[in-house]
Amino acid sequence: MRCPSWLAKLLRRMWRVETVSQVPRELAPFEVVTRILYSKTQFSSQRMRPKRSAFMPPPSMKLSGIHVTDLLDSTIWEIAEKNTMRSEPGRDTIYARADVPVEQFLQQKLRAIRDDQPFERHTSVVGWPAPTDMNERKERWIEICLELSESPDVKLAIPPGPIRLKTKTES
Amino acid sequence: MTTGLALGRPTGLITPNRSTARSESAERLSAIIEQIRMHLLASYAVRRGVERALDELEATRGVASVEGWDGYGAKPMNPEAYLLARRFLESLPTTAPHPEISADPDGDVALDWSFGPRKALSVSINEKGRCVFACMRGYSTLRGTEWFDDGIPGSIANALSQLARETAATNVAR
Repeated sequence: MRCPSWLAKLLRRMWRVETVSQVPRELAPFEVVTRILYSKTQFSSQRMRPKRSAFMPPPSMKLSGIHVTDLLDSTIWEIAEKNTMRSEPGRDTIYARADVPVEQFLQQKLRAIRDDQPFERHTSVVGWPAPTDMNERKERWIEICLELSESPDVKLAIPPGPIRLKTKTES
Repeated sequence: MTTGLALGRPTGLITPNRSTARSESAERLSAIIEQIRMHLLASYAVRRGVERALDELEATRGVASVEGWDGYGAKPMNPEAYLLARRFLESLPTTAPHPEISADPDGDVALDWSFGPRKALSVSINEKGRCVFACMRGYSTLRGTEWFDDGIPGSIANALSQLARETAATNVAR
């Protein structure tokens, strides 16, 4: 039997109250993490899907995201704009974001850790397989990222227009 | 995305001829095959798919040409990987579906084919011609590493062929 939605919300809130003070903390399966996309090449607006490359981790093997459970769409864009945009190549325009339920990361044996560094709600997705054979490592990363990009539970969101870094006079 | 018909054959009229035969008749036959191939490539319908993929590759190279282009510290697209990806696309059978293009944070070129729910193939090409790939077919997955030299690696061609055939069959059944 499924919980009524009000009860599910109450339980989620209780879970958060209990754990919100702990940082870093591992996010539960029902939470949502978004991956901000600063390049048009990382998603298909035709298919409304993030591409596999949008989830490939950097050498540090910590994939950056933002914890966005229950936030309004406009609030998510505001957080991304306020905290992540900089006047440097690659960080001056936001084109889209991919919302990933933490459950999807867990299915790939990854974990989402909210660390609030370098800004509040920042989350690192960790646990990427690291075989010493670099070919095998890349194979496994591609496999995981392909699963994420093709999952119907992972949603692409595109703002009404690209969000561009405001110049000092504009802000 | 169109689905391929001739993908099951790694060689054929519409893939570049790979014969090393040197007799007069073999060379004449190769020339005829090349003429037919160029004729097919010159047709609007066939050329459009290849050109679209090459244009997307070019656009991706433009975007991914600087350090940190993805906002997360990615390396620029490797120029050799770009050239090999170009050759890879030109070597695809002309009736094969063409991939979406992007770049990986390590400078490799990423080629992605999506055929519907849990039917997808992704290939990453590096500057040495190493092709790392993963393929989803329903609940089975396949991954591996191959090398691109004078043609599309067999296991990648087979995976693409199977996905295209299954998708075509599903569409016909509908």
